[in-house]
Amino acid sequence: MGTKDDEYDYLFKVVLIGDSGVGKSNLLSRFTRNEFNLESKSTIGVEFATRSIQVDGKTIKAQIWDTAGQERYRAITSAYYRGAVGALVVYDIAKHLTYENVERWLKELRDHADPHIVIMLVGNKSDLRHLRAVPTDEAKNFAERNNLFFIETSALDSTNVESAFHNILTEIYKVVSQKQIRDSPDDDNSPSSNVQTITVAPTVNSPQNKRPCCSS
Amino acid sequence: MTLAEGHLQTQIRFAYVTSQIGSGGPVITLFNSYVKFQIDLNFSSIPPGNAEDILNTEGYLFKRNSNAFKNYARRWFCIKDGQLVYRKRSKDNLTVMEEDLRLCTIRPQPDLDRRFCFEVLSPSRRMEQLLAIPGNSRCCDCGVEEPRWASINLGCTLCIECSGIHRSFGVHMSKVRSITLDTWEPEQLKVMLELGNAVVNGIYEGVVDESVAVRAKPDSNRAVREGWIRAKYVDRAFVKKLPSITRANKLSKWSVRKKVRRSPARAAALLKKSTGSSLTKTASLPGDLPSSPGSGDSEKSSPRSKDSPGEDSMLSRSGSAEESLTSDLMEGAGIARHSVESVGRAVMSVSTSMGFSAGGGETGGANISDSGIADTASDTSKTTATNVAAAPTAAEPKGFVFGVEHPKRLKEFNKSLDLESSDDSCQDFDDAEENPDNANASRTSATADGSSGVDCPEDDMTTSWEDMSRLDPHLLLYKACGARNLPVMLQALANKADPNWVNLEDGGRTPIMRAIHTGSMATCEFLLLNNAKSDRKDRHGQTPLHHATVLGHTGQVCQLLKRRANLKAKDNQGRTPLDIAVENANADIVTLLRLAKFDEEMKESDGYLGNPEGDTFQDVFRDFTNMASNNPEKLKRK
Repeated sequence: MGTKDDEYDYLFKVVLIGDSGVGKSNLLSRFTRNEFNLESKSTIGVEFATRSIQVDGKTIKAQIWDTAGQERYRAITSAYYRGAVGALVVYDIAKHLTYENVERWLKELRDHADPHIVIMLVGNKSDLRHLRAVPTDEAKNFAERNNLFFIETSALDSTNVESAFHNILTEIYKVVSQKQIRDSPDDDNSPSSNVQTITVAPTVNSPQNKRPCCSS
Repeated sequence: MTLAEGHLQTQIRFAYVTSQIGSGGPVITLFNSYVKFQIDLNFSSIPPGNAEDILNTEGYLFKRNSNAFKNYARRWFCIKDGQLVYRKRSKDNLTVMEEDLRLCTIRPQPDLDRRFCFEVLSPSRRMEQLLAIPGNSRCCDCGVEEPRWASINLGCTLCIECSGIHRSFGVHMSKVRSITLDTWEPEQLKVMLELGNAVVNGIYEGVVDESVAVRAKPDSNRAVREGWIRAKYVDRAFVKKLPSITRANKLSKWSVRKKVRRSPARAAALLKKSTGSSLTKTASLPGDLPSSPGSGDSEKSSPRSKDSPGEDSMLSRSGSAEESLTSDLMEGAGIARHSVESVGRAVMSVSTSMGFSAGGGETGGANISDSGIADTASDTSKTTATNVAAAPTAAEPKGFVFGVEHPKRLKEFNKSLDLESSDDSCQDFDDAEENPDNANASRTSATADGSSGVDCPEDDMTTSWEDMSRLDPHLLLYKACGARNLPVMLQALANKADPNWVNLEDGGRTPIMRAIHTGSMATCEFLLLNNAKSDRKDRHGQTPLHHATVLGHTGQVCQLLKRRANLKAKDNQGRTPLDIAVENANADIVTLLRLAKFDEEMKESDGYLGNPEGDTFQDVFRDFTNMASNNPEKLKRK
């Protein structure tokens, strides 16, 4: 359930996609409710949540669609991507297969989502250091080659969860506030490799949420 | 040629265009810039040249993207050979935006955030489809040609004047839409395709008495039209009453002919085969009918004798395309060829057999499968075929079958109806002579099946049989819902059936619950359009939304949610529809229910309205309904 926000300047729909079990629902619950559930069941269909953040003095309300990773739970895919301006493609750093499948998820975005959608590659479960199967550099390079933003997170210990959402929402805001996307495919809308260094608009903590700081 | 003249010409051209063509489909907003093109609100291009240039010109326009960002992109547009085309950059290929501009409607969009905006509405097949339905080429009330309006809850087309009078009586009586300008839900179109002016007037002008009101004509003034429309729909002065129990029919039973639900494959085949005569149904009513004095002009066939020679002439009149199609559909059962022309009225047939006049019921032309559930569709038709085939061996009581029609013979029916001599009439179920194979097949399956007594299973060609003493509009409506037979539903409603009647003998269900069980979106939509409530509960505390969820009928879940059905209602076990959907792991229904809930929550918070992203809910629901209407197989559970 989303928090009720009174006013906002922008409403962005962001989808969470990726293989089953990579931690999409926990990323969402960590970001919107600051909750984590080790025993969470697999999502059926879609779950929704919202949270507002401040970017550049504007209130941005994120409407986050947490989709089911399992194919059998996804009959109509196009509906999930409709109107989405951002996508977090999540994999599990401890399971290489989930990283390999990122290609598949990107293809699905190409097929169903808006071509201008802002995409961030998210390596989740970064707390599982001893089990790491996907080197950070490898994923980072992949993200660069594919013009994706990149970040590693841990929904369990909260690492970078705030940053991940803040970064993608900020990027979406940049695109949307530009108003006009240039047509040329080779122009400079494409993200560069600046992933970890994006600064997030400070001092906007709404009092009712006790959010963890973005610490890494 | 001066600029002004060019301007004028172009305007005339588009004026001509818009008066002809239906619209709908994607809406594209364009925005002008001032290169070569001088665009005004009517999309008149004014090149400084001759008339040729008007039809073949180019320039920049800003096109609003249909993407999530809804921003504007400058594109180089051309009008070439009547097509509207554009390219992103000079070296790109041309993208055709409109195949034929002459078919489009151009509409100014003064309310957008930029000036000089207009939209190009692509034509749809809607108008073509609607006007092809029997009677629909003329206004249902005054008969003037080329009606451009429709009453979507009555299922008829109207001229603009009569539509205005319909509006004046309020939406509970008539819900008026423009055929060309309004957006239509696919299921509303389906309702229209099941009905049509011939059906509507068969009911609402069943027994016209011009001493009550003067019939409206194309040149009638408003007062005459109003008097006529009031008498016709508000007072229902010309609606034929349901038959009452008489000595003659005391022992009779009644039932409702079922409409056969088509799978997408069949629908496609039908479309292919029946182009041009898309709404013709095959006919199988007996040729010579006995008369029944005092039964008004209700249409009654009294089919019985399987070998009646009178049949052949009837059969030969059936449209061949539809016939072969139908036989494909019905898997070789004898009944296959006998579908009924549903063009005419929703009427009654008296039959001493199973009422095979009830067969078929293909709604041609509507190339849409009505079912939100593809997997059951073909099963249904098979079952139907089998049961039907079984019928000739079974001794059936005399009975009325509602929903048997034969418009070409309406006059004959009206003149001559005789219940008591019905035994003499031929029967429409018979193509043994025409097609022995089919007949054999039907007999075989009949033996194998051996079913069908008085209480036929509901998957049969008719609903179960009821005593005449139980013939009332409410039960008739209920049974007609089960039969997916919209003309009979309309007939029941015209006889003041309560759309929210509770059937105590069927778990306290309302007609819409019955409709949901059939999976038919048109049936469901027709009830909803006629003031059926979506929040009634049955004996188990379940609402229509519970029913649709339990059954996994995604399309109907969508329909109910579009009408803001109560998401929080709990059944007697304390379960909401979402609880049930999660239990059943039905992803699509879970998604829809959660999305509706989420949308409600979003709406409760301020600042929601006016946000361009706010239409995601509508968009997603539209995706689902379109899919449920057009490609139900994609919604099939894996």
